[in-house]
Amino acid sequence: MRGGGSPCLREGFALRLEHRIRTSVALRTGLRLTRNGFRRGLQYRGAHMVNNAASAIFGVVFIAIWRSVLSGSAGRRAAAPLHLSVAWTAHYVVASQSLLWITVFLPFGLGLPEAVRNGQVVADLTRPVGLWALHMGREAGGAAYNLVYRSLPVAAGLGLMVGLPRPQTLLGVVAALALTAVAVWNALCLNYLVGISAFWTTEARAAHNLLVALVFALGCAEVPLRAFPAPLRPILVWLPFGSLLSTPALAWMGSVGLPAVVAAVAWALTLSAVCILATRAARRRLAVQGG
Amino acid sequence: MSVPQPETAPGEPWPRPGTPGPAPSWTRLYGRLLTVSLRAQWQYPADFLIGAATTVLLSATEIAGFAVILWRFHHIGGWGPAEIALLYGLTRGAYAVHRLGAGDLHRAGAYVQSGEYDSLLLRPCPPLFALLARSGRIQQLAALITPMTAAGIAIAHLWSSGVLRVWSAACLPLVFLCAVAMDYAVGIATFAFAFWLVRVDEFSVLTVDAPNTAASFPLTAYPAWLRWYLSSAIPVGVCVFFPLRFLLGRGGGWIDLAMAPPAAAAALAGALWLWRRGESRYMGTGT
Amino acid sequence: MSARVAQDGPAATAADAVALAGVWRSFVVGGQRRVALADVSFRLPAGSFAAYLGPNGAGKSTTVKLLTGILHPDAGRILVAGFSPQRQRIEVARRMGAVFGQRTQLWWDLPVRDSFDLLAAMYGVPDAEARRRLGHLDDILGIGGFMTTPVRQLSLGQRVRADLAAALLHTPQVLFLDEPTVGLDIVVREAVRRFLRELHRGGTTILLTTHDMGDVEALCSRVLVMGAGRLVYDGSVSLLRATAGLPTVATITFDAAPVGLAPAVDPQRRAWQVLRVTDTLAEVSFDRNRTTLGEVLTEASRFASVRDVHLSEPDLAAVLRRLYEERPGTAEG
Repeated sequence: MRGGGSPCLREGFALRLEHRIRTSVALRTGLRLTRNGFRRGLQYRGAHMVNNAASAIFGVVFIAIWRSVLSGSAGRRAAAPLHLSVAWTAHYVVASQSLLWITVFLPFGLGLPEAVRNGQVVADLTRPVGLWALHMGREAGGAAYNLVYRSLPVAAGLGLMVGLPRPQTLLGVVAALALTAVAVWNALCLNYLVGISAFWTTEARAAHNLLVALVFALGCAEVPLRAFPAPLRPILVWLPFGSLLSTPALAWMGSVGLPAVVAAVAWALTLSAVCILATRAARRRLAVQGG
Repeated sequence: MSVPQPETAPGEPWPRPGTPGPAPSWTRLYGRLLTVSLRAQWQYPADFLIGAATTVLLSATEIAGFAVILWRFHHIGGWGPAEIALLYGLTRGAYAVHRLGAGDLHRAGAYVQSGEYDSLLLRPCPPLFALLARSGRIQQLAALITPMTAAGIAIAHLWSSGVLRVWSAACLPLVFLCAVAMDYAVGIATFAFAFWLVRVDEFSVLTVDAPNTAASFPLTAYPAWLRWYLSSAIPVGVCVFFPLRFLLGRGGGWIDLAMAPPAAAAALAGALWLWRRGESRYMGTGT
Repeated sequence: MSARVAQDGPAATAADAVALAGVWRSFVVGGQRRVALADVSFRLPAGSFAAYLGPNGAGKSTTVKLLTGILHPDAGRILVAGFSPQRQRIEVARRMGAVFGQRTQLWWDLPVRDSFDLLAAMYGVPDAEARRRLGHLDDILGIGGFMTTPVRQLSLGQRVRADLAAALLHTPQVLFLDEPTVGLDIVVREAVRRFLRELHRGGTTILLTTHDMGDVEALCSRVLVMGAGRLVYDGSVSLLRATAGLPTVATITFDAAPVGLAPAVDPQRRAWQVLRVTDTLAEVSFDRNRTTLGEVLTEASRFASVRDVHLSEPDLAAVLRRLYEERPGTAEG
């Protein structure tokens, strides 16, 4: 016990200071990454606008399919107990088609598999910003770009035809915004996990396709939760996929249930924890394998 | 690996350059190119099986959504589940056959951007042929599974319920062929724009993917402008929906069936013309 | 664009494997028109082995693209093996082989053997004949060891050899080679050169684009040098050396130390210059355009009797550098 507590204290102070510096570096880097991710999208605005027209066609197809099955007396009779109407389903399709661009059509594994393949990931791991923060930050910028240049134009285009879904109360708007943010977060986490699987397998692409398929089918991309058979609904609510599409879409419709909200937040916490653990495991694997 | 010295080479000299051999039969060469590339992909069965499984899963989840709708409401646009299954099966099946046989056509943008198209021009065959005959996608065999199953079940059902008769069932292969030809036409015309736009992938979603999804369901359910888009601008509907509507007794007339082959042929001719225009632009003779 | 009108170059004859007459080609780069080839004319009689040289951007690859039918000229006439690469591209393709060092013509995902099978079918080479030729190509290029390997897994050296074999399977009359020996080790490079010499002896016309002066000196009888879109030199390697006016260096061995011979004795008066004198050895440089070796030796023998002389010709790379520097800038307009 030489020197007493003072060096220890100093060391503690230095550690705290270093921690604060690192946090601020991470934050600033994160913001810059986000901005770069946004700018990267800007180069291809023209092509993306053409693509938005295609996205709107997909929306029109589903709106038309719902209109066709719900019109006529038999359709109305079958729909009544489900609280489905032509206008309601149309709004649902507008919401989910717009959300697709920020929660489903994210770059394959957030670019991680490519970084693993070309060795960039080794350099990324030596940066003061964590691998998770690096990729989440960059693709958050991509998602922000998609929100402005893809989701909103698609919503505007489809909205001109069938109107836009709007929450009725201020609380509803806040909830919709918050649940959309949670949806993006969960989507980024899921895609990060797909990406980090590239440390262990060469089939990350298959995992990506599987994720997209599951989100489309179980996240209620085209068929709203309430149209599913009753026994399936609780399962869909508690799976993570609904938190990407169904939950935020219903929030914009002003008709999201409390279980779905709880599920979305719970998945956000769980997925974050899993991402952190997976990053540690990947780092260890790289240390063992030596790149 | 050692390189043998020429001293040890046999005495016979390298043949003097002579007149070139006879031009091959293009259809046979196309078949050969395709089977060779499919066989090469089969060298990695794990890749193929995982890819095939996800392909089937993707199309199955897509069908699941419409199954839920049909289970609750029994029809889309007035067409019952079996009729929809046939329409879906023929449309998507034809597209899968097109992708199986179209090789790298859908990568034309990358070929133009990287200058790889040059190497196609060195071959003693039309470059479009070389592009189509390149690396056929074995995954598309898996993409055939779901549509063919759907169509098979639908045909059995429609046959036993008396909707399909001998003559109308006999017309189905013709409809399918026209649909494949039309998919080739739309694909070639779309990717010909790579010579002007270079980045053509986003554009192709508008002209290839979206129309194919939309044409898998009765066009009668759609607003007028979308019906027009699918029957005139990108006439994929002309080759499946309209003939099928007549064959299933859901309206239209003989003319809908009779129009399909000439429409497909005309579209194919137009697409080839567009491709040649783009190609001469690439070589620097256009505009 | 009156300046762009095709001029009648030297008349092409049936014996010419390659003929260009008054060829112009320009590109629009960043909104500006840049002339890549300005009035280029040359002919290669059948059986020529010519090097096509020039700095990057001088128009070499544009020329090869025009000759292979990948590009069309703005003006001028081109014939390869008697056909127009633009109007009869397929006829030309059937009679021509091409190897581009950086880019493979083989099927990326296929084993090498499959690529050769497909090429044989495409060029109408009968199976038995293709097998015989592949055996021969294996003897020279050593391609047998990786026939079942997919092309994407080949090393650079293996790939270049496979590409060369692929370009020759149909025994083309004209062969366009672009940097065929780049990245190859000495043994393989020698094998490739030997094979090219054999092809040349057999009557194949070869146009070799390269930056490797070793290839040029070892193989080519004729050199075409491009500079800024124009043909700046067309002739033999030795004549190229002479016209460049670069000094030849002679190392003279005397019987005794040459008394009075010292470096830098006013260069104006003599057509030769003493570079260094050590003991009985003297290094002198002279310009072959102004004097001859005989004159140099006669003058040198006045200092001491000459026992031996060793000549080193100017480095070809230095000759070309001189040639490029004399024509700076690009052919704008």
